[in-house]
Amino acid sequence: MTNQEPTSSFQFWDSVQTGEEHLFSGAEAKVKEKVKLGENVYDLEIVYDSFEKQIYSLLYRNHHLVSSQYVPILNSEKDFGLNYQLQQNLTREEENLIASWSLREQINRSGSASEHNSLGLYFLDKGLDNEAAEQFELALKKSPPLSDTYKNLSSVYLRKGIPHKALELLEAGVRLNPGFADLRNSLGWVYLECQKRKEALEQFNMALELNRNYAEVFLNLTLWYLQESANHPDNSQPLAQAIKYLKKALALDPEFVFPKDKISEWEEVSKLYLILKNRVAQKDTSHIKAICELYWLRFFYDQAHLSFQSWQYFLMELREKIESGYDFPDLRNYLGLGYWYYSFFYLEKARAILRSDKFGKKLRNLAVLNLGIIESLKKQLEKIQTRWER
Amino acid sequence: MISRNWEILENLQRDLNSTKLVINWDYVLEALEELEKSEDSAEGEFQKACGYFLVCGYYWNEAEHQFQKALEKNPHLRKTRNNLKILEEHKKAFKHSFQQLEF
Repeated sequence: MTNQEPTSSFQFWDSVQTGEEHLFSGAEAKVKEKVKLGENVYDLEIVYDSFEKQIYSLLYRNHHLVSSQYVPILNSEKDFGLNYQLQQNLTREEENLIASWSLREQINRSGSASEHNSLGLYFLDKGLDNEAAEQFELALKKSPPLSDTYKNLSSVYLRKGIPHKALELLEAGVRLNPGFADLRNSLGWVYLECQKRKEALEQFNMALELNRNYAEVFLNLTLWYLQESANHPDNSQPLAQAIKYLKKALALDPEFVFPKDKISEWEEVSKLYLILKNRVAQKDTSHIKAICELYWLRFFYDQAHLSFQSWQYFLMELREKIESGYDFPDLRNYLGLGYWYYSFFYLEKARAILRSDKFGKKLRNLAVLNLGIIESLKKQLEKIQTRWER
Repeated sequence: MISRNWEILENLQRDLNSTKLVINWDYVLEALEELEKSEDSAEGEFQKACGYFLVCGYYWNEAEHQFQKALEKNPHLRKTRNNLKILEEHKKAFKHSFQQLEF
């Protein structure tokens, strides 16, 4: 049974003005909420950091900080002032956390492997490693060849500081899915972390054979040869190889102009490598994807607690993410599906009104007729629902 | 207000049946807002219900538009091609439903 005991408090460490003024007050503000779910106590805090002028979402599990995430403010909420922004974000974070717990119960009972994986992504994003590991392990039990899950579970092991378990898992994943470049790249990276350099190189090269335009692999190969060059400074070959792969990675980044001067020094290559690696990290979409997956699960399992406003906020967040430079096809695919499901809320609103007995003789016949049209359409829509692909 | 609302519904229904590809969201959302503002009468509620139903069509068009944009970026994205195919397959049925709506 879910044990929910939310308690609320609103605390300002200093008097914070809304609007522009707070930016110069030097004050820090936060709102917080305590939620007890099962045996665990989760503390959520939404904090405004006046020095960085950013809002952060902090999550504590049994009084240990597990994640701190930057929270972008939606355009539609920018004019409302700090108090409102903090409170809205707290409400949403709490809603998602409680929903994830209820989903956990339902999916552990009867979910599919990919549903376990989806829920695990939310926990992974929130830094809830134990909860994430449980979901990924269940996913692999139900469907051993699920390639993404190997990668996800290995991330949990790496974060928990047990690289040998990550390694064992990825090796098993690659044995089952030898044709997945992504998995080979992940395995190569963990080999590199474990100082198994020969094996790492082998995996990176195999990943490249599977995907000739894999920017991250080019970067990992750059690093591999940079390290080789540092280990053998008298040999010029590894540095030449590092430059070759760096150029290939740069060529795949259309926003990046390759320096006109010839790159020849180890330090220059290393600096460019770090810049590119940072750019790849900045383009990471794992947070928004985890939110998308959570919302699909909520739609299918917990519609009773999913409000029209929550879905609307989720869509705005996703759309603004895309518009802020993350215009990636898979996010557009999520957005398309998001709009599709959004229409169901309107369909339900229409149905609820037309089913009511508020109409007099004049409109009753039309209401019945239109309700029939909506019901028949709804049946058709439910039939195609399972065919959508995320 | 109520008679203006019938006009709004007619416009929404007519535009949905056209082959226009670009949605004027300002217009659609303002129309919906107008309908929602209407007085609390049986007629106003009926109009609201029709408005809610018609607006679904606009969101389905928007979904299609997003899938197309995804495919512009990556024409080989299998999942999006499949989603777009599903939408296109059912477009006729959706349009037919909106045409059938009576008010």
